[in-house]
Amino acid sequence: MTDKTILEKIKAIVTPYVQRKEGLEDFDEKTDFLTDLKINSANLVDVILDVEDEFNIEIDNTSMEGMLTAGDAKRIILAKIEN
Amino acid sequence: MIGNDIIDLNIPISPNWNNPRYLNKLYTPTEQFVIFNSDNPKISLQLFWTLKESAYKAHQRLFNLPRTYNPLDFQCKIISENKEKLHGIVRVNSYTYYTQSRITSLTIHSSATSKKTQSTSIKVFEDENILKDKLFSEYSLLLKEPKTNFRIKKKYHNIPELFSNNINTNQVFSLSHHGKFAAFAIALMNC
Repeated sequence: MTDKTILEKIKAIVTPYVQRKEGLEDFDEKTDFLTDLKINSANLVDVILDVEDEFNIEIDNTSMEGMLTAGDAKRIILAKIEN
Repeated sequence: MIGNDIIDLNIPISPNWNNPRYLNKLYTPTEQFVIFNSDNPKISLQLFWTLKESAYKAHQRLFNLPRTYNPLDFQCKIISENKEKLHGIVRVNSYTYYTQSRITSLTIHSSATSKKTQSTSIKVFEDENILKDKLFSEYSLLLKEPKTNFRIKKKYHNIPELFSNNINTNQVFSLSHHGKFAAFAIALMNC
């Protein structure tokens, strides 16, 4: 799976939770789920569950702690897929 | 130090709220036991979330910590409750934060302080757009300065700070919003 495909899938996963839609226009690795997209912190766990389902991986609590940007999510997904 | 968090109860709770995968990422086994043995698990679950979030904000400000998503590290306990307020504590590592919460038919609001005796000013508004104006009005009275002097800037780790004529006032406060509600909590003595 290419980086681009993973980022596109992440974008599709977060979209229903985004409160600041214009943040999606320049979605890239630097996009911050909380500050750029204004996803409520209580919904971040829903994003994480959707990522687990989409990529068939388990995101442990240590990985979850650092999952604040699309780039963070991509790196975590890549590491888990390789395992 | 201080933190606060509000939940607009008109916004639907996560559809995953009673899924063990969801619960195990956010709540300790003890917290889950308390939540599901309460009269209203949905409300208790959201109450515990506001405790974690408000203590997280106070803890992050106290130690100037980078943002992290570690709700399991914040362990909540309700100590007492009456019709008006619930008092609780949140433990993170070896630190304790003292919480007070208010639940209405519309919102759940909690604040957390690092000092047990911290006096606070807490206000909840039904319009997110007036939050900063109301905060500036409050500080105008407290600091005896015109409210047009005030600005909020986010400098480190996305933590808001109050500036007056471009000088940091070093005031201790926390903002929160959810749905159509917003709230602030102000520490009335520096902490």
